[in-house]
Amino acid sequence: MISFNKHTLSNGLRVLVHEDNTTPLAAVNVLYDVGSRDENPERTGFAHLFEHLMFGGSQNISDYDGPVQLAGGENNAFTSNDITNYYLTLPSSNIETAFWLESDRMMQLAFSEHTLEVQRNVVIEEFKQRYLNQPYGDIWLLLRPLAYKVHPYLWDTIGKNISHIEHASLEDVKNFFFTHYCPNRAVLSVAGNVKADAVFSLAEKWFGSIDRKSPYKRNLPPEPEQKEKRTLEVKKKVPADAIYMAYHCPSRNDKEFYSVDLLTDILSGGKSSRLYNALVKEKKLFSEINAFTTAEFDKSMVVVMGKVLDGVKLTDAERAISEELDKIKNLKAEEREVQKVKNKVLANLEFSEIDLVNRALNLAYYELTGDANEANRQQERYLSVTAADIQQQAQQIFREENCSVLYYYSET
Amino acid sequence: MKASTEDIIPDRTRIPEITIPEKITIPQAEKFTLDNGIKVYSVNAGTQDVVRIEFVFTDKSTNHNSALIAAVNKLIREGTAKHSALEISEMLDFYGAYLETESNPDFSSIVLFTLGKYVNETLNIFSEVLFEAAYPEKEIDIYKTNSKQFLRVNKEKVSYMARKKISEVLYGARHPYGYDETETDYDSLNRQALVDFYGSYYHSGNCIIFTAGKISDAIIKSLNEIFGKKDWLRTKPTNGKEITFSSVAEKKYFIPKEGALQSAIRIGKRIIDKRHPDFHPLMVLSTILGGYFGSRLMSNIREDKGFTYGIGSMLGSMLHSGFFIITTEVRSEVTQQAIEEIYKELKRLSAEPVPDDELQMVRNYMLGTFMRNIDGAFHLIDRCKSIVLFDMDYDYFERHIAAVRNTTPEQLMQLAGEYLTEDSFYEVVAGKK
Repeated sequence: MISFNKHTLSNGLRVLVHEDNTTPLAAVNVLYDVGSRDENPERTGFAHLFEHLMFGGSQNISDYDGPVQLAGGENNAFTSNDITNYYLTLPSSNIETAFWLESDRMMQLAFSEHTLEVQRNVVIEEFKQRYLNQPYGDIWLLLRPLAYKVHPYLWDTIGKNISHIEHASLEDVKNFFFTHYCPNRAVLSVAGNVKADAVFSLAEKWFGSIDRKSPYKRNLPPEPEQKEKRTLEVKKKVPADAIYMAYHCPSRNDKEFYSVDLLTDILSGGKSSRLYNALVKEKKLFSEINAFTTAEFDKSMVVVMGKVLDGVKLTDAERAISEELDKIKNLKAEEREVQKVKNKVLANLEFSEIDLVNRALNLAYYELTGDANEANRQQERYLSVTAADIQQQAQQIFREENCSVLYYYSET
Repeated sequence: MKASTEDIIPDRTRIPEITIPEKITIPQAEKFTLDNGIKVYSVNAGTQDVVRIEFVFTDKSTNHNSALIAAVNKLIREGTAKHSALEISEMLDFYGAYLETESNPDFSSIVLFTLGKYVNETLNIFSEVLFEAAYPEKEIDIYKTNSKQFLRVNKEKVSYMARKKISEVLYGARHPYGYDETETDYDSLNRQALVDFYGSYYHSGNCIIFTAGKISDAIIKSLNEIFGKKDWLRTKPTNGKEITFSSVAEKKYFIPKEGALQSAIRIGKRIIDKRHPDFHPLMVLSTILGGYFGSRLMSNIREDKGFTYGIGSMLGSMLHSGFFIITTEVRSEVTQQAIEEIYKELKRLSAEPVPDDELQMVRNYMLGTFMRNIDGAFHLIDRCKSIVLFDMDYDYFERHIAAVRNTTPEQLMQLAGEYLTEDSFYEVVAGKK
């Protein structure tokens, strides 16, 4: 349970406060309603590059990180296909420093050619370190454009390729900032040893004078229904063959999401899950196997992925996965199994709320997607799912014509 | 609240006033002793209905085979005399509980994370695992096969190649600190050896319990009922060996990796461990060099030159040795330049005093970090573990805070001159020729 107060400034900035006086700290979270799905298809990876630039100084503050550290704070950020999120924790006595920093960069970023040049290089190294110089690191670069043909989820947050990042210009940076970074497209949340009224006053003081911008009309092309199975085979220098199967599924914001999430938990949540026991332990085809939903705001994916053992053919591995998927399509899960995955989700929710940062992020996240109160309704959402709901989603999702398969072969 | 203009009109040109608490105190864990002598350290705190119970096993006097240590630890939950691996996982998953296992050459641990309302049920499963692990052949075989594949994937990573090599160079390939499992080690695991090691290592005379979260008196009582009434599981001790570190003369190593886009660089040395009084001021020095986002290595090599996504230095301590290591992956073409910059930054630490504003920032950052690291029951029990397992007391943290607040630029220069001279470091690069 995350108790909170909410106040909206006249410029549209929504402010949420969760008071917890058992800690001397506070977490401050600023969530922006922009992700890599909002990028120009010729300048992909830009939302994430932009996130790096947000630390390169703003109009009145040349250096973002220095003051955070001086205030005893720690900060970071992440970008996804749907959102960009900035957060910091610091002794609660210093939260005004966070307001000073966050409001200045929301108001006006310093557009510096040098920062752009350096961060382009940093992001290119990130691209190499995480995607290109790792065995299997490039799977999302291959799988996304297979599963999506039209919708911008067809590229990964890091971007389609390095050249898009190399070509990012200061003009692009300015346009992106002026379109997407503004109080009416952001949510500010604070959790910790604070008082709601004091936080609202600080929000008014530091963010109140930032101008609202004209609303952004997100006009993304919907991904058409997939009509036939798609496949892609690659051969790479990796030690074992692997298979990646992507199925389209409902979005994070659909009510069906909870059934889909529990469905993937039945398949691969924990060591008692079906795929692990059938395919790793019993049939000994895979060394590891996973199933999960990407939980994105538009039509998302359920992905089943695994590495096979030496001598196992990927086609046989695929058939074995399909047999397991058929089981849950053809036969409703037992009550106890459904209860198990629900208990597991509920426990996970309880554990995740230990962290102050998570509590702040959850409030902001659910406010952005509609209503912060949803943060406290997740338990009942999961509990109301039935075995029949799960079976129905399995039947809906696990259809051959809804599937894109990446066969990732070892060269040797 | 007063309503002067200062409150309403923000001065954006200056940082708001910063305060760092004058006194930071760490709440201490309570200590209990079970009837059979097992020590329990417990932190009862937190807002969530969660419980963490950890058993740490250690044999501080001798070294054991690392492949065996890891296998016994990972496979402990894969079947008991009464239940199969799947049945155990079913029961734990049903209550939304987790068992985590972790081992290194010094310590083996097994942790239960559970909701408070199911603690009785999950403790039953947990105790069965601890008392009656059966190590079925079938599970051992699966573990061998899958671990070998996992290892083969790791071997493709420059980061793994460099890490393995630097450990070997610092400690010698015969010492567990310098040794990494090979496929042959996995192949030669046999059930009897696992069972023997389990019996001689995971026993009541060899363990400490750490609990945190919503810890009621009833939980402590249950621990005594289940684990504290008598000695458990002690067979004849397996013969660990006393192995000493071996040093090598050659300082620089290169491991070729065809087609690598980045080079992994590790520059490191053995150093005093955390019991030594200089460890705390060295921690300040390490933070300045590469221990936070604004560090000199990050500022120079990432934020100024854009050579890397990340670079850092770390001062760490194992039971029998401390280590200091600089870690990064850089664009292949600038490998040599990056290495030169790293040595340049190392040298600067002993050549010039740290400017006051930089040192103030590091002090505040480290105090804030300390506050984060003692926030909440799980963090508090981790801090408790970090001293108890090294036979130290809570005054360790007082020394840490005093060093963070008081170490002078002159002392830092002197420490750098004593501990961080360029010729004392070993250097490993894995990447393209």
